[in-house]
This record gives sequence, C-alpha cells and structure tokens, in this order.
Amino acid sequence: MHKTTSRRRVLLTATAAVTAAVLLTTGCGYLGGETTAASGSKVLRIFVHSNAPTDKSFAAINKQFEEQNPGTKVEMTTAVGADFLTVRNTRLTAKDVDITEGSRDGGTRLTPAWVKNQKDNDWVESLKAGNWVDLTGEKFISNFASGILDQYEYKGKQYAVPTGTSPLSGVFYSKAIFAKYNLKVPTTWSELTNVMDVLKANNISPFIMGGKDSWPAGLPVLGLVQSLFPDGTKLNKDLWEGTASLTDPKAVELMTKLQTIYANTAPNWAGIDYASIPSRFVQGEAAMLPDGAWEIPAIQTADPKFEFGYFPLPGSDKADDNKYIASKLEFSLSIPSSSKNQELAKKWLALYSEPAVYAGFVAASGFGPAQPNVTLPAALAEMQKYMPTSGFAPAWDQVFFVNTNAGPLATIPFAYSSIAPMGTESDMATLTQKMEADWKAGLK
Amino acid sequence: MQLSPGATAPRSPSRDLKRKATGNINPFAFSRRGRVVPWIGIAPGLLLFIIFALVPAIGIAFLSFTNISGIPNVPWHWTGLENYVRFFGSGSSAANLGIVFRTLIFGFSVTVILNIFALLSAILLKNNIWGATVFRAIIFMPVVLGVTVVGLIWSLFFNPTGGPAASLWGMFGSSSAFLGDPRLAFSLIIFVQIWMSLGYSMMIYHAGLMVIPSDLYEAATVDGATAFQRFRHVTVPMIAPATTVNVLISIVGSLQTYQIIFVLTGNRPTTSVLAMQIFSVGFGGASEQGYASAISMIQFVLISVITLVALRYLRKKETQL
Repeated sequence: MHKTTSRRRVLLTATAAVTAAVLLTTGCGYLGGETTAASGSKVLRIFVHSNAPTDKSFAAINKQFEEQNPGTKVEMTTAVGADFLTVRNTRLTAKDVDITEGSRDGGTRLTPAWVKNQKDNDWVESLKAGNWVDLTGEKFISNFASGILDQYEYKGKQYAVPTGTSPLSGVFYSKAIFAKYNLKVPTTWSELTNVMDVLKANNISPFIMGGKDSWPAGLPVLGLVQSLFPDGTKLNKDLWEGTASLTDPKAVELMTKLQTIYANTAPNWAGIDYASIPSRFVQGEAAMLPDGAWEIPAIQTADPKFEFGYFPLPGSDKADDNKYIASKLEFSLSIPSSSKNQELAKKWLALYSEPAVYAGFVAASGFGPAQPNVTLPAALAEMQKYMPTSGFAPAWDQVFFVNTNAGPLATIPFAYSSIAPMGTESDMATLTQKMEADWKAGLK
Repeated sequence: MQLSPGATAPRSPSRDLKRKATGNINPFAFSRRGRVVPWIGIAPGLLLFIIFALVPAIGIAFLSFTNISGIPNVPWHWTGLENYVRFFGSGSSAANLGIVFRTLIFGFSVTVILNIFALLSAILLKNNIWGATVFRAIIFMPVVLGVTVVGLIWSLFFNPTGGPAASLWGMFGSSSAFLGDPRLAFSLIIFVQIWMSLGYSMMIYHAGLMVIPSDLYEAATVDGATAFQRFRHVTVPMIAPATTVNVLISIVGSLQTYQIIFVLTGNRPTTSVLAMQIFSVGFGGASEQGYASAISMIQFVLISVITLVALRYLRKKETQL
C-alpha cells in the first residue's frame, strides 16, 4: 500500500514537473481566455511576412504599444514570403495569432460571372468562412482613405486595415547618369528608345533587373499594359469572353516592346539575383531599374546619397497614355476570429492607424499612403504626381483573374518568362500565337 | 535444438514438423510469447511509421480527390477525378507532361552519372593510395553541408558578374547567365545534385569494395586478367548489392528532389520538376492542396513503378552475376 502511494507521488511529481517545464518553455498559456506570458503579462501575437523595412517599422510601433500598455508584451514573428501562407494558415488553425496579414494583395476581388470555373482568392474564401473580425465602425478605420477601404470591403463591412499601396509599374532612374548625358525623363516610347540608344552608345546599360528570381522581369509588363491597354478590366473581360485575343496587334506590340527592354538590360541579367539589384543600381551598373516603390528603402540603404527619380514606363507613343503609374494594394492587417486577444489587437491597430504613427510606417516601408494628407518623404512624394485623382490605379496583376485551366503561357498574360534571355522565344508573333493557344485551352 | 529463452510452452512434435514444413527457422515463430515479443520490439518504430508516414500517405491519396485549399474553416468537397483531369487534360497538360519528362530526365541523368562517378571515386580512393581517407572526407563533405549551404555556394560560384565560373568563361572570351540561362540552368542543377550526393553514394560503394576478398583479384591476376577484366569480372559482380542499393536510393532521391532546384533557380518553367510543382501548388501561395495531393499521387506512382522495375532488374542481375 505504502509502495503504491509512493509510486503515485513520484508519478504526480513527474507529471507536474513536465507540465511546468512545458509551460515555462512555451512561455505562455491560456488563462482566463487571454494569452498570458509566464510572468503574467498579456501577450499580443503578431505574425507578418518578413521584410526588413516593415519589420523595423512594426518593431518601433510594438515598442510604443508596450510603453503605452504596461504589462503587455507584443510578440512579433515573421516568415519569408514563400513560407508565409503555410505558416499563417497553420497558426490560424492553432488559434495562435492575434494580428496577421489577411489580404496579401489585390483586396476583396469577388470573381465576376464572366470568369468561369475559378475559385475566389484566399482572402475572399477566408472572409466567406468567417475567419476575420468585423472592424466596421471602429474609430481608427476612418483614418484611412475611403477609396482604399472600398478595395477591402466585403458585404458592406470592413475586415482589414490597409498598410498602403505600392506603385510598381514605373522605372527608377539615376539622376547623375541622366544629367551626364543630357537625358530627360522619357514620356513616350520613342523618347525611351532614344534614351536607351544614347546610353548604349556610351557603354552604359540602360536597364538592370534581377532576372534570376524571375518575377522582377514581369514588372515592365505592368507598365506596358498600363500604357497600351488603359482599361485593364475591359481587357480582362474581353479575354475571358473571347472577344479579345493575345494575338491582337496591341498584344504583339506589348511583347515586342518588352523584348526591346530585355535586349537593353545589363549583360547576363537573367542570372542576377534580385537582392543584389539595389547595390548594383546605385553603383551605376545601369541607368534605369524597373521596380516597385518598396525598393526605395533598399536603394537608400545601399547609398543614402544616391539621387534617383521614378517615372511611368512609357509604353505608348502618346504621352497621355503614359501619365499614370499603376499600383498594387499591399497586404492588410486583420484580426482572426479565433484570437483570444481581440480587444488588445484592436488597441494595437488603433495605435498603428494614428496618422503620425502611420506616416512613420509609410516613410520606412516605401509604400504609397492609404491615409489622406500623409506627409511623405521626397522619393514617395515625387511619385504622387503620377497617381490618378482617385489616388490609386490598379496594376494589371490586380485586375486580372488568373485562369488556372489555361496553359502556362497564359495563366497570367503576358508570358514574359518565355522571352529570351529569360526563356528561349525570340519571335514575338509566334510566341503570342502560343499564348493564345494556351489561353483558349483554358476557356474550354 | 534449443527453444528461445522466452518460450515456455513445451515443444510439440507437430510444431517442429510445421517449422520444418514451412522452412521457418525463426525460433520465435511458434511460441505465444515468441510471437508477441518481436512485435513489442518493433512497436515504437511501427507506431511512428503508421502515424507519421502511413496515415498521412493514405490521407494524401484521399485528399487528391477533393478541392481542399488549406485555408482554415473553408469547406472542401469531394471532386472525384477533377484534379487528375486538370493535370492531364487542361490547357496545362502539355506543360505538365513536359514536367514529368523533365523529372524523368533529371532522375535518369542523376542516377547514371552519379553512380558512375561514385564507383570511380570509390575505386580510386581505396585504402591503398595516399590520402584516401582525406579525399573521401572531402568528397563526403557536401552531404554534411545541406541543401541551403550547397545552393548558396553554387549560386555564388555561378554568379554571372564576378563569380568564379564567370571569370573562367571570361578567359575564353565568353559569358553566360549560368543559372539564369534557360538552356543551361537545368544541366547545372543536375551537376550540383550529383556533386551534393556523390559522397554518400561513394561511401556505399566503398563499403561494398571493402568486403571483396583480395584472393579473387590475386587469382584473376594469376589467370592473366587485365585491370579492366578484373573490374568487369570481379569488382562489378561483387559490388552488385551495393549497386542495387545505390541505384534505388538515387532513383527515389532524385525523383523527389525540389529543394536544390528551389534554392538555385526557384520555380521556373525551364527547371521545374514534379516535386517542385507539388511544393509550388501546395505551399507557394496557390492554396490548392487537393491539386497538390493529386500531383503527389502521380509522383508516387511514377517513383513506385520505376523503382519496382529497377529493383526487379537489379535483383535479377545480382543473381546472374
């Protein structure tokens, strides 16, 4: 009997020790419905994709939040882009996050009737599933521009706090190189070809891009579509309804101009990684860099004194067609319905949304503002003149509905990665025929 | 004859007859405790296998017939063969078959070239040459480094501006985008995969070579066999089991590879293989885990068929040699 009691005591002690160890090592547990650290302080868990400028800015906001809310700890974790979605979904399932990225880009795009056999994007699917907390009526939401908020609205309600927009269809240029060769910012395609010719004649590579990562080579497509197809939504609808073709003269023109840009990019650029581009650009390896505004912090870090500008890629010979820079909606912040700290999460979002705090976030991230009257740093302010009065011209990849049944050359037109040197195609007429065949196959 | 220590039941003549009749010489097989004890021994491993391999594998087979997205709380449905029809019958079917073909090219190239070089390295670095241990350690080192480090090393090596390979090309007045060149990148990936796996395969061949009795070589030499004849008629037959193991490991490993491709070039149309597609569709932002499961099943069938055919052929060869 005594032996049994002793054994039971040992078992209980061991169980208690293991439980304590688990609680201590995990650092927190669920007590009273809220997440608390071992020290008893409340823990707010934020999970976003890793990006040095936004990480730094979020860290500063977290510090401010902890100071304003004694006894609260903000635990911010990140994952690289490729892993983010998987980790986020896992953490949502585990009810292990209080604020995370809801819409990753594009906002609430409900699939229209003319798009056949495609499902809604992740954000819309998860909205339908009720995964996010309704933020409609929260005071901090009204700090954001209504035009931007409309992009995230679902059935008249708000579930997302915007982080901003990213102008991405333009081209960075080195002011020093342009000044040295008396070049003006091109406003038409022929002016751009003239700039390219002058630079090449002086042994300067006109463009540089990180082709090894593939997607940067697709950025000029967005500028060319913006110029050549002013109504991207119409092009999208016409393609889906079969009234437009990827072999139309404008489509061939787009691909040919893209080929020209590739031919005027630094030698062997298809093997250069994107991460090294800002330092190469500031060192003068090329005069122009087609890229998004998110690259501003990296360019400034590479050389704080480097002088650069940003202009819309002029894909058309009519200057009026080239006056706007297209943008994408950046990721939004949302509170999962499963969060145990919803009120605390709202407090954090309220702090983030304060105009002064948000202005600091925008300046650090390089994003275009989602709030009106934000004082912008010079580089971002310069871009604003290329924005439409609504403040936001959605880029082609923001309006296009992906056709998952189409062939690889047309899943998302236009097939930039098939053009040499990214791919092997050098005859654009033939390539557009292949693109059209792939597109048609997806409409059956 | 003794019973196993655990066996307490008296041995019956019928049990002995049964053992002899079935040819079973396992002393555990015909006592109650003897039958149970081995199962207890393998239970932990078996349990881990069932929980972490068998159940997920069956789960994947099931999910391949659904439209599960992986997004929490989003309902999913049974879609029958839709995912398979999409792979083989949609607008992407030609590209998908191209990916299957590229996967086979990758598997075949890596298996053949890797085994040739691994065997040659093992023979050259047998213990009778100076510094063999050091050279073997050097060749084995990439196995220890891991995919990410290997990827980084070769990305730097093939950096088109200033990398060692670019300098080498430059000496001949040429230049290349290397991993960015659609005509070259896949070959370079095959090369890196072989470089990375060479040490492992070499060590298996080395182990095989070590157990070949030296008398056989001496006898062959006395009989006037040339070096090649000794290799062909002594070494090759004697290392046949090691060859079987190496070839099967190479086939399975190479047909499942995506990590080194992901690190070196990402998911590009010219370098994508089946495993890369699975990763891309399932975890690359598409949230189509049902479709990714279907591609996994296609990959599973492909690997199973090739492995079984290769195993049957190699086993037959082993007995013939």
